[in-house]
Amino acid sequence: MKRKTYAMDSIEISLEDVRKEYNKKQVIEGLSFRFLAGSKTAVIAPSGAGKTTLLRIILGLEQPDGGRIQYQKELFASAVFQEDRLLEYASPLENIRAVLPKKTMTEAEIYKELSQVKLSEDAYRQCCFLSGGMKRRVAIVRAVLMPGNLLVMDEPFKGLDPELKEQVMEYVKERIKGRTFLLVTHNREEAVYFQAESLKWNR
Amino acid sequence: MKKKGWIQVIAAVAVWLGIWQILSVRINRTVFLPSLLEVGKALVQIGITEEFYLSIRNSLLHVLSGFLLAVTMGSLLAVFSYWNKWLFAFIQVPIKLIQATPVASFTMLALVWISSKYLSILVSFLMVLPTITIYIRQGLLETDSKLLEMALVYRMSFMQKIRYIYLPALLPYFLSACSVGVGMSWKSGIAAEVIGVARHSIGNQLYQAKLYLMTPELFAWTFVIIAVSITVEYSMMWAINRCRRRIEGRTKR
Repeated sequence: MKRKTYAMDSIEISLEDVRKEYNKKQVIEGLSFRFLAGSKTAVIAPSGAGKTTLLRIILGLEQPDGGRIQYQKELFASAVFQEDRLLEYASPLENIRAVLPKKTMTEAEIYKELSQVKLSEDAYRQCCFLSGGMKRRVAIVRAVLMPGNLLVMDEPFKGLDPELKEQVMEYVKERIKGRTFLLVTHNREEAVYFQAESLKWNR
Repeated sequence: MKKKGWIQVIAAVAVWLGIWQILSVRINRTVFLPSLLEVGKALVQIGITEEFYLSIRNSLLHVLSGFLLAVTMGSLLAVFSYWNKWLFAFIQVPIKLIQATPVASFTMLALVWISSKYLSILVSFLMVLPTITIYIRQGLLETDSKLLEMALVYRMSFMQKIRYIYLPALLPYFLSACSVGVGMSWKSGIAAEVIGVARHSIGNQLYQAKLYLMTPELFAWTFVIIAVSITVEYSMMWAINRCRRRIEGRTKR
């Protein structure tokens, strides 16, 4: 079956009284919020508050127990998960090529993008031989290069050294324009850097 | 294997051959335990006959056919039973039954239904089928669910998921299943040939050697069986590993 191709775009997502519980423990309690098309939102909440659960619900990986979630149009998302979720046996280049729709980017173009986050020397190395920080950067580049209308990042800069982190953040900032961007972080400075509206909640 | 490892293996084999030779000299009865030289002579004698190659060819062809059929059928059963729990429950009964049934029982039963010529195909197929099904299903069950979620979010196509996620996850299981299965099919296939006295087969040669108390020939044929089994196993592992490298793509370490 041929895969639907799509371009960079944005989407509006509305949450109405969304609830989710695990093992009779309320993780998200009546959350209502509207992510405007092309907006940048930082989800800031303490550990265990249900940030990742919220992202999973938005990405369609989980169903809420109550409330409604509405997408203005068909969702085309890319994500940096809490874990890198890379194809460990494959190279960074192959990892990116595996998810991109056909003919979106050439190998040289992907290579150029990887070099922007200092991965040019490791572009053909198997991911299982890369360090944690390198894998994180691969996951970030993969999410950023994937065309779509929603970009979700769950603590994407965790584990990057300060100098590199700044460079990677700049790389991301340049490439999220026009897309609805959702960032989960503990770090308020990251939210400020992306000029993201904060979605704060304490259960 | 490292050089030191090889030396250890060769030394161990040499010691066991030495023990064999000493025992055969002490017993001094060819019919009970022939010497190394007698077995070597028997091997040369059978090796120059046309029947030797015909038997190996037929046995190899039949056993490999059964094995390949089992790999195909087992893989399909594993995939479908992974998708459908009802089907898994349904096929579990015959799988457990096949696993618990001795080769001899199957062979006797099969002799009622089919010609002894094709017996080894059926028996090696039946003996390997459960192993392949169980291993591959296990591989499917242990495919990284987080990668599958990633594939869902990134809208990877069915073929992309197979190529990038399922196949690499399944390969180690497939490799183990083939490694175990090829030896199993070979042993059960030959056993079936012995019981079914299939013409122009290694099993029949073994049977004839035992019938006429030609113990050196019996040993020689056993040696041939082991040699062919090892060759087939190594060739298969080599081919699968080549496929694995192709699937895993162009990467450097």
